[in-house]
Amino acid sequence: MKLKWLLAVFLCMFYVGISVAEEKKVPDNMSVEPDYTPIAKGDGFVLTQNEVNEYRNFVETKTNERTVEKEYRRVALMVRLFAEEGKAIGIDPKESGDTFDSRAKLCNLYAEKVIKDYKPDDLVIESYYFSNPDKFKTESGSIKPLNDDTKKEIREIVIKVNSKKIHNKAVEQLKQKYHVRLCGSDKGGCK
Amino acid sequence: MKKFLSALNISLTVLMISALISGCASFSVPEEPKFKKIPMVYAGTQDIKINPDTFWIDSELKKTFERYWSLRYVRDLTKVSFAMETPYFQEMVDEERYNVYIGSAWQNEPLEISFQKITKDADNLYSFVFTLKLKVANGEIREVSMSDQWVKVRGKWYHVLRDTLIFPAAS
Repeated sequence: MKLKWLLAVFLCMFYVGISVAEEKKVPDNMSVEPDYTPIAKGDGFVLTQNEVNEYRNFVETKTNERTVEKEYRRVALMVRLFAEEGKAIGIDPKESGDTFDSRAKLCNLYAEKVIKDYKPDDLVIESYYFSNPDKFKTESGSIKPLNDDTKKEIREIVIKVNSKKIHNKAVEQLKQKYHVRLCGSDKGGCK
Repeated sequence: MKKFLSALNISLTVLMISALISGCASFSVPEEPKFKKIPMVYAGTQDIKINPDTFWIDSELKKTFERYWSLRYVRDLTKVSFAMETPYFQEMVDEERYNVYIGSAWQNEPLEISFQKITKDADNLYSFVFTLKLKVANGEIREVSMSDQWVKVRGKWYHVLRDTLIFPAAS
């Protein structure tokens, strides 16, 4: 459990670091007062600036990392969508999704479920197998057949490098399912 | 404390996931664009003579190869060439990253592909060695030695893009 936690911290810092490096901007306004300005609305929920600030405060106080407002909003919306869906399917009946911790827990459980349920297209599996025969060589020099074990092996390889795209697809699907509207003057409001 | 660490774990995992989010790929092939076909010649080597009539093991491969290398240098058509990369590559690599990678070549004009040889690496997997003649931005003509792999999956040919530096996970 401790190892898993350390790994999560490490990976998070690494990737938030990448994000910062890409955007080269650091927000300097950390709100202290709750700000309930809506950032996005979906069926059954409103994502407020306060929720975004919770994540920003958490990251900036616990990791010494910084990223841009846009990134925090994206994180907050994803967390909210995964938490809403996790709650809807009863992924953890004990969690209500009303607090920061509860949403984070539901989100994490749902993110794990997305990966668990991920099934790459057969074309993905087969193209990897046929393009990389050397990776499937046995000690005797023959090529492993494309059976269930090999498919599982390829699936793991794809997941290892592809979790962000897998989660992104899930976010896009949930945005549609929950009819998410982004707020703000440039978005035409979020009625 | 345990509860706090647990929440921290959860939240950081969540952030890690979302910070990585970006565009996703699809296997749909966009409408056929107009492009200028790159001329292909069959020079061979001192030791290898090429017969153009028997060089291509599949006419579809010739067509796809020609289309791919003609499109690689056309601005704003990376969506088309991306769809010609292997499905696993499309699944594992961000399209935006691919666009940046391919975009660096737009200033060059491809003039000719001169084949040296073709090799069968495995069933449905072939390698080409060729020289690509290019006109670069300052007008100079350059020749670049290339090695290119193609795979046939479910009756369709795909380009196997390998760049261990830029796309280590998919190479």
